[in-house]
Amino acid sequence: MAVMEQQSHTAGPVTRLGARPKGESLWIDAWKRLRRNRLAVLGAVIILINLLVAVFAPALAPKDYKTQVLADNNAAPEWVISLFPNMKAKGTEGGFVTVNNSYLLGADSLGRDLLSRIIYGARVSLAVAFVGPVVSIIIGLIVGVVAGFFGGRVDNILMRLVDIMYAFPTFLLVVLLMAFFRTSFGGVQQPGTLAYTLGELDASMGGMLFIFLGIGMTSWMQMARLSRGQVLSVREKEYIEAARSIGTPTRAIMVQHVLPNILGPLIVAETLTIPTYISYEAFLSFIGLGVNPPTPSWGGMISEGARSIATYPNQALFPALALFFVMFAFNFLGDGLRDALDPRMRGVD
Amino acid sequence: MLRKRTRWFGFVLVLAVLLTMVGGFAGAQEPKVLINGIRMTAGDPNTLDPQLAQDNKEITIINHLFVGLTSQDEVTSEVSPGVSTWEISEDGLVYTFNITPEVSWVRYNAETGQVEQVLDESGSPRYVTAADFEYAIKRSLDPAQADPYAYVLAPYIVGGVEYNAGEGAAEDVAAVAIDTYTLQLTAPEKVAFALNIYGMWMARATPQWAIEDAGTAWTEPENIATYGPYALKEWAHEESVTLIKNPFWAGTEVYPQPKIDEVIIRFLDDATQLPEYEAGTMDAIEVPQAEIERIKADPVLSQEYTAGADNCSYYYGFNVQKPPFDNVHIRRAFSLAIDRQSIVDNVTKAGQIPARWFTRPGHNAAPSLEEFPDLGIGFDPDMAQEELALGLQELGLASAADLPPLTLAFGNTTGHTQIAQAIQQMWADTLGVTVNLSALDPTTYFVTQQQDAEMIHRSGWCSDYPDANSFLYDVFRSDSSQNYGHFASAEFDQLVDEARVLDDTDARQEKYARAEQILNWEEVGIAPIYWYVTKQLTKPYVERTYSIIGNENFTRWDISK
Amino acid sequence: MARFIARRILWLFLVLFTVSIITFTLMHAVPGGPFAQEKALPPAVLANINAKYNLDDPFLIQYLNYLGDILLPRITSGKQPKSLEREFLINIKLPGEGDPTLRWMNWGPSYKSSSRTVNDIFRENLPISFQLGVSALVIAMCIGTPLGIMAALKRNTVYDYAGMGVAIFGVSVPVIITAPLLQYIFGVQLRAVPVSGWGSFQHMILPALALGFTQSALLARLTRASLLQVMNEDYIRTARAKGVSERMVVIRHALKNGMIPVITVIGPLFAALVTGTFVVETIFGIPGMGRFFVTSVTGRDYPVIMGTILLYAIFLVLANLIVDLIYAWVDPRIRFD
Repeated sequence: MAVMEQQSHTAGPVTRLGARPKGESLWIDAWKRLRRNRLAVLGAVIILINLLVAVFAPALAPKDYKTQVLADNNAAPEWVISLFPNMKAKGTEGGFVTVNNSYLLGADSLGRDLLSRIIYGARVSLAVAFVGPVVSIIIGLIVGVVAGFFGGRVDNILMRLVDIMYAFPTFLLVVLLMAFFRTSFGGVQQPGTLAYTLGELDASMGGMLFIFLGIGMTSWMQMARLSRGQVLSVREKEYIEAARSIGTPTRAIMVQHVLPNILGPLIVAETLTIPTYISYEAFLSFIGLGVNPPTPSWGGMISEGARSIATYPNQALFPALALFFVMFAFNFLGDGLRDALDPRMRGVD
Repeated sequence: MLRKRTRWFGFVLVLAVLLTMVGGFAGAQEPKVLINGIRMTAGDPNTLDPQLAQDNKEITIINHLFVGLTSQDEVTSEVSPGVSTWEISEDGLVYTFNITPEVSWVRYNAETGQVEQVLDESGSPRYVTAADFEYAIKRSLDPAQADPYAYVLAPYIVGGVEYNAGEGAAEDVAAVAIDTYTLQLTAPEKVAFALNIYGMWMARATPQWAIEDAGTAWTEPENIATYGPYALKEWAHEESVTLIKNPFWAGTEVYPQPKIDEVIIRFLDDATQLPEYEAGTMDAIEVPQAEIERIKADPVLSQEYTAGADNCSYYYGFNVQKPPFDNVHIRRAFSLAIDRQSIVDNVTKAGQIPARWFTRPGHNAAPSLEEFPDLGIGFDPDMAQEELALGLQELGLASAADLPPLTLAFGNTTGHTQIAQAIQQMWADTLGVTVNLSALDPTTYFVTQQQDAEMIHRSGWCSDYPDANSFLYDVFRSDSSQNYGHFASAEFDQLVDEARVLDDTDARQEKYARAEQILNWEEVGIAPIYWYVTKQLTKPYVERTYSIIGNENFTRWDISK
Repeated sequence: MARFIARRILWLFLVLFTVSIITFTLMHAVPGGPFAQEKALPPAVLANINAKYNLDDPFLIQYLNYLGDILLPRITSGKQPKSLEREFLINIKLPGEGDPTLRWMNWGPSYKSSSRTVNDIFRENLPISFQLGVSALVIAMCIGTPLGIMAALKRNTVYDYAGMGVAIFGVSVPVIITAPLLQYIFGVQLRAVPVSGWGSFQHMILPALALGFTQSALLARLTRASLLQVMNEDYIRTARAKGVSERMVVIRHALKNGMIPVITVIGPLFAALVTGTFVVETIFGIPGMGRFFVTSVTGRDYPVIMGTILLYAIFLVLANLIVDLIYAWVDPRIRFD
């Protein structure tokens, strides 16, 4: 399921074409090859597990993510203390860590269970990981393919648009969006109105939904340039010339021949941008523009924990580990998809 | 292979540097250099111009370059002579300052490596004169200069407010150089703390000739002229400022001749200062809150750690115009439900003092906890619930669930966010109310706070001069621009107006205590949270003083290595 | 080719113009001005400040003034304050009486740093970010490209997995955590390099590594992906069939074409790196330009926001132009039209 989800996100325009007999064989073939790739399947499983964790967080988390026990601030269980030599338990020489084994990974600076916050944090982090990339790949792919295929004036105009967008002050936009949504949407709204629903949705993501929609809308340039570059090298190929010479319509050429040939590197690049989105979320926390408390997010936990990395390394490293697993998964899956979708790989494995 | 070579390269380099150092200083006395991070954060100071400065970072540096007519002792906060002595007329309105003769204007010469006197056209040294002070004071008040701190100086010099508002003329400002070394200032009314104001940074002499020659760039080391205990050796923007001892400085009581030859002030976040300190490359630093427990427990670091008095208060303001906080019982319930002791013990951790009222004790005429143990407000969950019930009754609501959505707004920094979350839970536990948190980017927050403050909004205040007036009159008089929550009480205004011009400190203290009771208990304009402390680490070889007024004084420090 | 470059340079100005309008509008739409601060300023003082910096003018007038200061050259004569030299990027002494000087491109003052101008920031802080950025890019390419090639050539072997493991590690751990970790281990515990600051080769090691490592992962993955694709091309098969050695196949044919997608990202990457990155500069206390991209916005320092964004745009357009030229060199079938 997760795999299909991933496909429909990254290759939206193509899936619709699956109805055509020629395309269908390509996608079924790809699916078969993907299933044979153990690492890709592992990646898919990890992402699926993560999605499940995010959805069923209330059932899985051992404690509530926002209930504080102030006296247990920065507490850690024994195994964590013995893992990090610089964490010294209270009672020993130079000891400062409250020992409390009821927190499996430790507690944060307000005495909240770290594990529960990591589990709930999967929600914001995965949402951030999908919202931005989906928006950016849709816009980027369209712009890039059109520019690359038509070339000439169209290409020129679109690529200058890309230049402009690259220099677009995204950070200013983020500050503007945040000021707007945290002051006006945060106000009293009547239930049932669109503003209310959007506000609730945004609040459940710690006020990050619109911000990452905005970021996605201004970060499609790499996708565009990449797909244009691919189209440029593909469109001169013999099979495109051949298709053109037999009078295949432009749209059909694009969809049937160009798209499948450029998807590989694009998907890899997109899986690679997912960590950048999550890092961006951490970066926003770092400069004081992060999620609205007390909503947890991995980026927020990492950036806060990084401030005390010499004292409580567990508070930064465990969320980082969670992030790391998910990134690994996205990358393996991306790789697998790339191999599976590359027509020239057919019969290679 | 590559790595090995790099390591060798590094080793040889370090060896070379060591050898040069040993060679260079053999025989000569090694200069004492202090590397300081106290009161510093990442990023450049906005200015070194006394008539533009406003924050601690800038003022810490300016204090060592320009000394005031009066100086404030950083340990006792008492007023003492700066570069002048003074007489006050019997009505307490006319201040005559006799400026110390022959205090040289100096500049660091990068070519000779020496601090040199600045010479005038005729080749004789320039000295600090009454005219320099007159120029500086009028420069601060000049609307074209747009000094952000002019408003603190303007009300204490006749004609100041009008000139600064663009309605008067510079000639009508009652700051007059009578002769070379005599300056006369006339105050519109008699206040106890006028001498503090006249010694503040915006009233420090500045060199007209240097400013006219170099324009806005006059504060760069090659253009600047200063006269204080240190001269400006280097200003590496965004990185550091290096101060070098001014040999022409004769010394005053508060600013004696420096014992340390050079002070390097680095602009680093506390999170970077601590690793520098632990690596042995900084001598005195700010301590990041996140690492306090390790430092306090560490056998070595705990000996070098000091939490000292500061001049600031942390509080939550209520917007008394926004329902339901237009009801005094609701406000009081919210203030009573905050367990301040738990916050300083479990969240801020540096030994901050739970605040019962607004003015930080230690300021002149401010109430102290010893003399007024029951003044103000404290944590009382039972009474909080009673007050909430009273408030709900007055509002005609059945339960707390019927209250409109409540919001607490604050600037999104780690410290504020942690405290806000802790207090959010205290309100939930004690009062059964859910308060939404609105974490805004700091500038957005300041603007919304000033234009339309949220129901509950986070604030803080540091005194400009060590008097209770700098807290109560300057912030919460009903017409103050800092009074974001629209707290208004005729009795309060009358009390702070009277206390402002009284002579007797005890009588003033009584009035301020009464004013605090109105602000914190009767009208509950704010919920005081805690009084700040400084958190610093200093290497054992540094002998130093600990400032309670917000800026360190390096002339009283020494290094004995 | 020359026409192509000339046209692109002309485009640069259009890009800059558009970006300047977007930025100017956005920054005035963001709540709060340069003098919004925790201690509210009284109205009289705020009015003085707004008058000093012409912030009370209508929006359009402010924009036109800004453009005029940059575009219109000015000739001054007589004695001028020294700060004028710093306000204008270009000062040319003209012959004649009274020291006439042609001055051009005033990028404005910094509202926050009252003694500095945007030109000062360009002059003093940009070179530092440039040094750091270039070394990070070199590190990224030195680690990333070979790693990607190795992984592609030894596909599905332990080399591939190990190489990609390193790459994924690099890209998955944000620099917010690697920077203080490196600082703590190598600066505090081992005392091998300085903890923070700038000025020597030693100072550069940690920040360049922290920056470069993250970016190397991006390059490694892209290199691997596109090489794998190229290796299945007909002309590679042809070359192999002709009996060309595998090594020559890779070097002569595969690498050249396989680098196209990689080059695509190096352009923007270069622009981003040389104009600095906030996190690394803050954590390592580097007086670079990157901090201004963030602090100018959080502090609403209008001229600095404009200056940094436009400078970034210039770098970007030029970097992309160079990338397009390299495209043509790598793949001659790409036409300039």
